[in-house]
Amino acid sequence: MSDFRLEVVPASPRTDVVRVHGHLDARSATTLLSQCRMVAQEGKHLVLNLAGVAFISSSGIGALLALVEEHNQTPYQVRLTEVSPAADSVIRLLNLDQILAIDATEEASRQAVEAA
Amino acid sequence: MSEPLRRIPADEPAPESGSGSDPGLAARREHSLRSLLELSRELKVSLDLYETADLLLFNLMGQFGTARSAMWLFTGDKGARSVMVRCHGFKPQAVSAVTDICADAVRRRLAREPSPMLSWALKPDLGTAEFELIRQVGIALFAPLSAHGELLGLLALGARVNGTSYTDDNLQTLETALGMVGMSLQNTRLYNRLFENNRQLRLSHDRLLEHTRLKSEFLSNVNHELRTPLAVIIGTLECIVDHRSTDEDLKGLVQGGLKKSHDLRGMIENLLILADATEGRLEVQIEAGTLGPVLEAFHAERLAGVSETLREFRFEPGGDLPGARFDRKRLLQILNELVDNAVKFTPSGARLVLRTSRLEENDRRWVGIEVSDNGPGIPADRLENLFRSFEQVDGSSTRRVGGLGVGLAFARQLAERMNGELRVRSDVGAGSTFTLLLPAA
Repeated sequence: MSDFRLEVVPASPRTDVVRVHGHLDARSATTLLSQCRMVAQEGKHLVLNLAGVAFISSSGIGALLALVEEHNQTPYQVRLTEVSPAADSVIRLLNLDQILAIDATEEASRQAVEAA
Repeated sequence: MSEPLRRIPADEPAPESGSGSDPGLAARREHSLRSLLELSRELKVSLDLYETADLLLFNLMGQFGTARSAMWLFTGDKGARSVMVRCHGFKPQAVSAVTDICADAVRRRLAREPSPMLSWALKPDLGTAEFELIRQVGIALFAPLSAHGELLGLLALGARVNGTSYTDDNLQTLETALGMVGMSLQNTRLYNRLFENNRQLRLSHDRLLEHTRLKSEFLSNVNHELRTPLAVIIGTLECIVDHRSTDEDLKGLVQGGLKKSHDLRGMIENLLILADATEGRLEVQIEAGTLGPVLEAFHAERLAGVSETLREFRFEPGGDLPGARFDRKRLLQILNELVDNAVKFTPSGARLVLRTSRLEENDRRWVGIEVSDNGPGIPADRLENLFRSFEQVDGSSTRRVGGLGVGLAFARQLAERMNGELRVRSDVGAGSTFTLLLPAA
């Protein structure tokens, strides 16, 4: 978790963007989940920007899946955006690109979650 | 494990291909291997049961592409109770129902056949309603957590989100991962037990030293204040006995009085020992200081012992705090009392949280330290009684958990001696929060 960092940016009154930087692994997975749960608790949709993810491990993927599943049990939407090549290759390897909602830009994700 | 892995029958969905012609197979196997390496590396540094549970569950979810997982550990006599320690993706209420209704039957089956097992294979061990519950909750497989032949807990995974079934390769990988985690859990629990025992020994040692010091000081006072007059009485009576021995009646009376005086001295000494044990001498040395490092060290010291009782214990520092005025030793006594109390009166699986906050009230600035739990809570009409000596919530609890019921009264006295306050709020069924308020520096 040496260079792991989260940046929370309000995209609109109804949506927050969480930008993930560094290694998303066993050490950082719980931090990511805690931060993202707070977004739903504040009654907002979530856009998760993975452009800064340099490495994603199984635990990181597990945390993403748990996050999406937890959001599915709330009225709020979650989408991934600007997925880095490092994260994209693992997501595709596990055929999760068919399951996870992924967009090219933060704005596209914001529009999608607010339209849902 | 000598048991063969369960095969997926023909009427189940077809597994992923395991043939060498699959171009992604090598990459997925490499992914599995990297996942196991990550798990192995992280287990080396984890000494918290709940952290270990998260490590395992997230790792497996990422490996197999499932969004749901849960883990139970066994506790009580011969591991008779199943306690759910972590749950991701499943609805918590649904997993609680599985804990109450199905966990025993699943545990018995996994004790006989300690290998990962797809849910359908448990059908013969479960009633129709129980099997239907597992299906509705979405549990695709159960797996045992064991070490040295002892079943420590069990794990459930949901269906894979890409729609494929778990393959034999997956189950073998899972078995390998669980083997590592079982050993790690066993080591963690042994370490935690040892750590907690050492802490208890150190505390006992400190208490004994303190009692010895207080007893010496107190006995010195007793000698001066009480024994001196008694010594005078005894000496006088002895003189009467020695010099008026011809008056037999008088001598008899005086001898009786002398004996009673000795008895009285013995009784007073016993009473004073009791007072010494229950009253305590509350010296405080208040200094301005920073609470964060003190609380962090306290949490680190208590974490192993609390985890060992299968209660989660988290520290949530509340951002920038002002300094506070407190006596470090007395503060730790209060916190130990509150954490011990929370452990005593919550069931296994409960969550304890230590957190800090800042507060302004009646023109005074306070630093708050909360110890909260999600236990059974305390009825409103019993809350204030908690702080009276020898009071506990009810008689049956007294018998179940033991103790004189003086701990919280003692903690409140200590808080007041530090010019602070100790408060409680509680919701029956939701939990209790004890808040220690210390003056901001």
